[in-house]
Amino acid sequence: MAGMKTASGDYIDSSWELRVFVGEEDPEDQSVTLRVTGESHIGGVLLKIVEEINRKQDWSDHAIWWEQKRRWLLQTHWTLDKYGILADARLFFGPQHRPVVLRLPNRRVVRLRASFSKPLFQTVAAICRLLSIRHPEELSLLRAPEKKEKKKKEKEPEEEVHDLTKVVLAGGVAPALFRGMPAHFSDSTQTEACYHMLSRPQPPPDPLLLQRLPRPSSLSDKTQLHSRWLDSSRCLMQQGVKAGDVLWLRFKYYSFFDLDPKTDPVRLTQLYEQARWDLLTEEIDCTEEEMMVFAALQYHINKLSVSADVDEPASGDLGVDDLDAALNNLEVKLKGSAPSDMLDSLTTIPELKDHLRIFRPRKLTLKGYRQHWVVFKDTTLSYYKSQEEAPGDPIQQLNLKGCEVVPDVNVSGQKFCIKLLVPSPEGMSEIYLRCQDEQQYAQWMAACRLASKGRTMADSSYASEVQAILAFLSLQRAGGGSGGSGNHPQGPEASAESLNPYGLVAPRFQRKFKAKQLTPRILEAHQNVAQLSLIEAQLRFIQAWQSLPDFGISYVIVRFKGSRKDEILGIANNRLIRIDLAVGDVVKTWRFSNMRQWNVNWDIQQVAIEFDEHINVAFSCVSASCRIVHEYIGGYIFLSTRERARGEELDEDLFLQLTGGHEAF
Amino acid sequence: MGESNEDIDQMFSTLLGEMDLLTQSLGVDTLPPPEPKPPREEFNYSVGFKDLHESLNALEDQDLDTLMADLVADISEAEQRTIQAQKESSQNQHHSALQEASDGWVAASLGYGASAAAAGVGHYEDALPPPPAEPMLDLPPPPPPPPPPEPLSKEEEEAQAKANKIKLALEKLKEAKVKKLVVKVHMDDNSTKSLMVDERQLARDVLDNLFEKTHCDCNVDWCLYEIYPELQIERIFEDHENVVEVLSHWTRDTENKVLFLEKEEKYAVFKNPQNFYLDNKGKKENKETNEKMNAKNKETLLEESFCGTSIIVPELEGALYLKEDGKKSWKRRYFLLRASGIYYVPKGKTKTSRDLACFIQFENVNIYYGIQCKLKYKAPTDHCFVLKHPQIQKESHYIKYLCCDDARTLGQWVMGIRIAKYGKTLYDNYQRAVAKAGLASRWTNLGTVGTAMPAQTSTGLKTGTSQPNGQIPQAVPSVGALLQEAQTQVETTKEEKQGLGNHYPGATKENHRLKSSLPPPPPVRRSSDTCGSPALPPKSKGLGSSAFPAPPDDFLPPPPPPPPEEDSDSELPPPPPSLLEEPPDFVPPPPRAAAFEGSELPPPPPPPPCLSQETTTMSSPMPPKKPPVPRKRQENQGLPGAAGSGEQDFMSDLMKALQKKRGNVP
Repeated sequence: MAGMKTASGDYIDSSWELRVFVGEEDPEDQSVTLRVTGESHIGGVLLKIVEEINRKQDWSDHAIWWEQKRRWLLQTHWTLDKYGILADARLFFGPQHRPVVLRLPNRRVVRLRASFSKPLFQTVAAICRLLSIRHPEELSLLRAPEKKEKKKKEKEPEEEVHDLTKVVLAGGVAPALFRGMPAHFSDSTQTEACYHMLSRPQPPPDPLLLQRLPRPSSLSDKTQLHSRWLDSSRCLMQQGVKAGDVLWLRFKYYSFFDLDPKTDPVRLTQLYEQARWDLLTEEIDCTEEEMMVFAALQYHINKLSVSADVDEPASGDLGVDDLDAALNNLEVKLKGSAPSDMLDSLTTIPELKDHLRIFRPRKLTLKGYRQHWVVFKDTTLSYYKSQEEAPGDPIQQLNLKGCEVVPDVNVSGQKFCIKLLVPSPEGMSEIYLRCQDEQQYAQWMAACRLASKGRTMADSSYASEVQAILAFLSLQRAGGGSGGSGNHPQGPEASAESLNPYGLVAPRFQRKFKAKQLTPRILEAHQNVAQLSLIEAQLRFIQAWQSLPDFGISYVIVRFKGSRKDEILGIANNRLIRIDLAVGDVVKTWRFSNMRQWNVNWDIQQVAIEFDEHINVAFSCVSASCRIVHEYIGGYIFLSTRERARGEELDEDLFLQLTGGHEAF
Repeated sequence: MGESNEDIDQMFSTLLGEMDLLTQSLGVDTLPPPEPKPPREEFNYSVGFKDLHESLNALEDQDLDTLMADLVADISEAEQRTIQAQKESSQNQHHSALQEASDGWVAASLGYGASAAAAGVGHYEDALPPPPAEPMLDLPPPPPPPPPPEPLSKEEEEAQAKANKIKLALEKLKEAKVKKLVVKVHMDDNSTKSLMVDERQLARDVLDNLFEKTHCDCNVDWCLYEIYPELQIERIFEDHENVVEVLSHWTRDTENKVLFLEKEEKYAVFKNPQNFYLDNKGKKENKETNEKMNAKNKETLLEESFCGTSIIVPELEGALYLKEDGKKSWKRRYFLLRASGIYYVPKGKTKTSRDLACFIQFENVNIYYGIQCKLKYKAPTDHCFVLKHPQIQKESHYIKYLCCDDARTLGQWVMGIRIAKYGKTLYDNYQRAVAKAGLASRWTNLGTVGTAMPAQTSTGLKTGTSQPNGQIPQAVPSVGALLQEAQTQVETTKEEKQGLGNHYPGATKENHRLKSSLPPPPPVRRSSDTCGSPALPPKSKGLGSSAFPAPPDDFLPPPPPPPPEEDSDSELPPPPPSLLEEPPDFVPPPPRAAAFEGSELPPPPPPPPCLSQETTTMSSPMPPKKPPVPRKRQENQGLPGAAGSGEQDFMSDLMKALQKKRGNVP
């Protein structure tokens, strides 16, 4: 053992003193000094340190961090010589797992312990296992953006931070379910609440906050985000992350494998949240019509998740039930026109009969609304001059199957109109129905909507349709009345329903439309999604997000070889896109399927790619390090090798091989 | 109770399936008369057993058209020649009655079918309030074992008859509600074929039906095609579309037509996805490299575009001409296709998402090709497409006309819009069409468009060899979903080729089982030939006429042919009312169905001793051949309690179920 000395006190072995700080990279920390030789094993040194500290504690998570070389000394059988450690090495004896603050895709914050010594890929996998998100390879961590110095504005309200640092995960097998959630969440009410936060969609953000959030105004702004990705093959410590730092957890690769709502409630929800925030912060652009659909889906999802909170505190099988119900629902819907059941004809079909005012726009007439006796039966609307003439022939009879139903409502103006565009062989005939009040409007509107899909009021969804319309009217009352930002909850019922439409759309639509313009349009879009279950609606949202042309493209500013100006490189799951920085036009697309190889010259920070037919592309990276580009390409290649058969097993080596490779330099 | 009811239903469906099998084999056997023995009368008889629907199909090759002409002439002048709605089967029966007058030799039999049906309904009405007689019969406690089986079986038969009647009546009611159209389909050789389409049938079913009738090569390009001469627009029916629904939008005096023809455009995207997904705005060099894309890359491209969580709509944008409402002038605008609709770039704006204005969304419109718009509307080119609500039949400003610069762009837009509108369904349709066309074409089509013939024959051989396995569905090795799909496909076609137009799901398995117990070699050979190479028309001619198309897949709605129940009902020889109450008489035991396959005669009903009287009256028109099987059945009847008699006899199962049911009733 090191430290043999003569009687005079001279060391006769070649031992020397090694100083090791105890703690996390803080020179003020307590330190111990050991006598070691070059042949000392790390394991022995660790033992000595613990002896020296002489404190009862679980030291099993501790390891030595070599500050100058920025590496952990994890090979306990290696000698100091093998590591090349000399007396001047600054070594820190500290825990490998340290708390970090994670901002999740739903923008909520969780504190948990993450490994600072393993490659990030493994760290993320462990975090995802804790949060019960499958397929961690699709996610990664970003550094939080540097806070610009606070403006004079009031400090943002303290956020609720869910603490998961004390949660211990049983190793090995997938966490078992207990009370509808992974067992490790069911320990305390706090963790349970955390699981609900993870697995349930969050309410819409405050529109004012939304407006304050930074938004990319150009493509080059969108490249900012992608410069912050951490390196998957190195550990957090190596990348300068300190205990307690804020990191973002995000889906990095837009290639979502095997999205299964039954087993993945957290993953689905977080994906939905990321999609939602992408849209709300204008990271991805969409058209007005698409935004209305997104808004309607958000409204619907929020409504359902609020009611789920109330009805079913233990949400466990909710998803499954929802899905089944949804499937049934869908089946009914799909049957649509087909004669679903012979019993249908035996049961009587409810009718609506009332005095309504009707307006038929025609050329060269100035007639306004006129009172008529209107009968709604089956999918047919008939109107008569008066109630007395009802048994006779109607003035007109319209079969509403396949018609377009457009609400024309202004709650504050007490205007409840239904515009119908009824197809006929000659074209579309337009007709307006004007109802007296909300109740009447909701009934007739629901009937029209069902009829347009070939269903009658006997359909089971009629009642819920009426309710949905009434709920939406009350939303409009709240949203439209207050003119936008301010929420004035009107009793407990109203607070759940009276969302602000501004919280559902991207800020540029807030500027473009008044709330009372927005609400009817969202209502209109909502009618197509009103029957979806919570999970179905989330899936629909994700699908609509995925169908956006710009979906899943990560932007980096690059300089192509031989070019004099900066350009944008878009990286998607199947292709690379060269985009003009100024105009935003696609210049060229290369597909990964045609790619032969790619190389990175780390010295000059250049990526060179060879495609089939000897097409060679080379560029240097401007906005992000070429490591990030390299990792994106390798990551997508890796993701495309996944197969269903392999299940949850991850070929980590392959991933690191494809995305790493630059340590050597 | 509910469970036993289901049991009974199950039994019945199987039984009725057997009946159907019987009828069908009758039909086939009589067509190439194996012996001179069956008299002419017999032949008529077999036709008569089918209901109108079936018989029309059976007669197709002989002279359906003349038949239709007569029929139409007789009914009324008002009914147009192309389409004739027959809303109710009562109406159908009326028609058949009329037909009776005009058509000598089928007349009687059709009449029978109708009357039998009527009888069925009549009985149902009786049965609805449970007849008091039945409980009375039930009251005497379960028959003791010693007494001979007769009283028991009588009772059983009673109950069974009742259940049978109810079942038949229900089917009748269901059938009565089904709307049917006789559709005249124009072939590519200018001939026409009329066929009955009921409202449950999808374009795919109709296509399958037409494949049967025309013996074409069944490739994926065949489609139903609607043309509107008045609007000068036309389009391909999507395979999942409900044909009757589409046709019901046509006006009464329409000139619109349905065509049956090959259109390369139908599934062009699946054959050469690169032309739609990787087209770099028509650059010449690209076009050439595109053509060369190998099958594997195509496959990955398709998978990427259609098999993800959401499908990918081809990126399509460019300047198109838009016809201005009500004018013959065209305005050039920059349009973009997105999954949510077609957008255009308003003047002075950029083509970023935020600036786009929505032109149209696809929920309520269909896409059509515009024909000769250059002439009619002064379009800049003749490559036009049209978007309109399916119900609009006349010129209207709600119809949108767009004009492309060239045919390639037109093809891309039309396909792109179809992908955006129908999504994954389109791909599913294609895969089903491929499965129908033959196993390998999916792969070969990708490589060699339109020349899938050799591949088809090769797979034909493959399926041919696997036929012996196919006999017993359980033994079919699962070689991947597609293969299996095709396999079942082949099996079903085989079935129908054999004249077993039995598509009752519950019954199919039984058929196979039974067949394997008594191997009928000739039909197997024939079937493997015909389905192996669908392009060989002569072999399957004549057979196809009486057969009905098989459902292309399990999850398609019930197949076109009338439910077997109907058959079993109308198949009855002039049934004296008393007979209707004795179901075992006309429900043949399964083994004999198979035995009969090879034999020359229609099966005489099994004569249980107690019923010998009725049996003789019934079998009077038939030869007195007595198969050995009935005795076994009798035994089972006699010992209803004997569980697990190794032989899977329907009757005993049925009786068990009935007993169970009866036990629950009081």
